[in-house]
Amino acid sequence: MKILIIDDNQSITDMLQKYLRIKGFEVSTVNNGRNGLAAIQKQKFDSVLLDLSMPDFSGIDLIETLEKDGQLGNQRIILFTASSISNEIINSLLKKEGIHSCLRKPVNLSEIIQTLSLV
Amino acid sequence: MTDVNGNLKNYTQELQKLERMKEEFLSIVKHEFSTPLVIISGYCEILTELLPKDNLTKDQLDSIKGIAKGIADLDKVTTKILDLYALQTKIIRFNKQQINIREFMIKFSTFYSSIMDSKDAKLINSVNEDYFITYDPHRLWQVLDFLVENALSFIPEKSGIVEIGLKYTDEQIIFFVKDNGSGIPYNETGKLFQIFFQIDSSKQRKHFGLGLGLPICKEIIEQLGGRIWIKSKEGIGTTAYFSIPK
Repeated sequence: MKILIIDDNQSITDMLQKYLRIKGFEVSTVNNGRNGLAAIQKQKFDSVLLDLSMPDFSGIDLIETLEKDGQLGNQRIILFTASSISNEIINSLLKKEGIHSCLRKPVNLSEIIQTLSLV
Repeated sequence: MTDVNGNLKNYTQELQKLERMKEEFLSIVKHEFSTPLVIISGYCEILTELLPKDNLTKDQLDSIKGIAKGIADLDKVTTKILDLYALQTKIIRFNKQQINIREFMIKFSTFYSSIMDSKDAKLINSVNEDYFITYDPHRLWQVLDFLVENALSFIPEKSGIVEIGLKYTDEQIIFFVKDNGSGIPYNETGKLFQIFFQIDSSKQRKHFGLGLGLPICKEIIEQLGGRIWIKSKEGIGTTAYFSIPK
């Protein structure tokens, strides 16, 4: 299973990459929204773990761009978000095609595996 | 009059802005505290659970497990401090849902069964009937968790008993968490809800901590329209009660 992790915190992406690779996933990581968008446009991932709160080009900007370009429905995005994002925003994003589920940070590692197994 | 209304409106908007800033600040602090903890505990899990066991000696493995335990404790303390701050500044949003108390209590006592076994203690769940309430399940769990954790600090070794049950009145439901612990002097029970208060700070003290559990319970219960109180007899045990409006 090919996974892309988009999160501006490199310590988080390094740890998750190591963890998920040991668990047998093929993992790529990027540390900003624009590189995330480029990676998604370049190749198909089975699942994308997307941090919503990133500076400059956030996860929400990325979702809006994919939606505008008609590419959102082809994705399986798991939102990966801090508690500062309101439930209203999360719920409206979850209604969009291509948005699979939401994991609230700080997330438990087994919860990530469980969610990925449902994608 | 128009000026007064205008000033009042500005003042209200300013207050709302401050509330939002407080909320945002708290969530940033929470995020900044918890992210490094998640990273450390993640690496501990990789080392202890995922890599081949023969790569590490027993001492190394025990040391990593010690780090993971310390991190879990630090995470718990951080959550308590931030929760209390959020509750006292009234920036916690409650998420009320319909809860079947009997099913909820089965989950709760199942979660606690291994903890009770490790302490040779018994948790009696006296909630046997289906009963529905509208409450925040996460906060209800948190309150019961604090009360049971507290009871565990005072029960006797090998023969400790903690019982959770319910009483109904016309207007409210009353939960109780009863233990057969050492009990609390009568004049101390009211002080238990004060922040940082710990019974017996010296020789008999078995439980170290910040003493934030009961003040957090009080804030949660009162903000959800109930009340919490404690009855205790030294040498016999303690019962914590809390009410939930119907």
